[in-house]
Amino acid sequence: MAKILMVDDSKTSRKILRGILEEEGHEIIGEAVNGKEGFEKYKELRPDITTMDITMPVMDGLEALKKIIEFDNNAKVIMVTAAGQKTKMVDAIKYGAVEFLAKPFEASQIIGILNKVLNS
Amino acid sequence: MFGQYFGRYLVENNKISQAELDKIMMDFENKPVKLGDIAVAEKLLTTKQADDINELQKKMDMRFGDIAIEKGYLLAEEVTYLLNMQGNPYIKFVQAVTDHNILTLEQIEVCLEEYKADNDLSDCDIDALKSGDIDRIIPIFVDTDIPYTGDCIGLAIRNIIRFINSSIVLKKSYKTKEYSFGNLAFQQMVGDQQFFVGFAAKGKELLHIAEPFAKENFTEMDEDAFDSVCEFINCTNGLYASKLSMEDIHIDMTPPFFVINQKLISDGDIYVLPILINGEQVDLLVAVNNPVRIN
Repeated sequence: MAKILMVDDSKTSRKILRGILEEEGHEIIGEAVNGKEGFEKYKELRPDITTMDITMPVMDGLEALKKIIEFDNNAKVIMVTAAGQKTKMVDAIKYGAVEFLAKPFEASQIIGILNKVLNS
Repeated sequence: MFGQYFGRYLVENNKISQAELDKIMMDFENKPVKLGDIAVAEKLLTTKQADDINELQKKMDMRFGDIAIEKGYLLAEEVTYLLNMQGNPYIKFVQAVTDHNILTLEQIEVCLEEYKADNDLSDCDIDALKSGDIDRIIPIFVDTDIPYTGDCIGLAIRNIIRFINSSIVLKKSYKTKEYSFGNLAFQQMVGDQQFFVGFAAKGKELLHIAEPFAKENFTEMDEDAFDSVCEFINCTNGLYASKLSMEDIHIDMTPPFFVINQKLISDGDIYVLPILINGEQVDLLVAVNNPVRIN
């Protein structure tokens, strides 16, 4: 079981992702609606895994990823992307993201990726 | 698909009653129409394989049969066999109408000629509607030759059919420079090309997108319902951006937004495609390389 922080401006996405993760026995310890809030909550909650949407207002997911990795080099951040954001995915790898989740969400994909990250 | 278009025409022109159309459409609902369901029933695919293909369809703009062949699950001959099993929607519609003694074959033929004339449809358009093939139906209502706009609209429609409602009815698209709305959810994409993509309605009609996408009931177009529509647009645009990136055209998606009771204004064209979902109208709005202002 992992302690997870979800950062996504879409409540619909957070709700769907929460349902899948909790069904698998993981604990959602926090939610944030933009990168800025996500970084603050990361410092406060120190989750095992952070799921981070890329396109968000105020501060996007890539900026927040950079800040989290600067703060904690061992942070496990899984980026959440709509299918088309390939160049941003390349940037995310460069900045230290450990994996990607593609929208729209698919339960088996999420569980597979989470287990891979937890076992790495 | 054919039943939705022609059936609706028959009701609107008092050729049949709504109750009779409901009875006809029930016949369709009681039979498997999805290729995956038929493939599983025919034991050509396992449920897991069909689910895999369905999930892949969410991430790529490809037909079920084409993915099945590419994954090595089915041979081209098997896909052809399944498509034959799936049947021609026109024949199925005619069969249901005559089985219930609602109209005779001759009456259907007369009505079809009237439908064709009233809607300014060619024989080719009617053939496309009869086939039920969405890729052939879309060009009847949208000029798909317009660079980017046609593709973008086509992909959005296919995603509505996949994720939201497979029984939508399209109306002829038109272009405008001003568009007033009650509710609008939209997203802009910037980069090599600039896109504005939105769904708008006069009132609560956007709930027909919000509810199936979030798998949740909403009573009003509140923030949560708008969020669901915005997220649907985000996913659809993601697929389109992905498709463009394969052509070396790179665009970035900005966060989606919603607004109420305002007007869109553009110096260029805003393409409007009216879509009936559960009988209520939602407009798909697309503008390419034309800045759109909200007033």
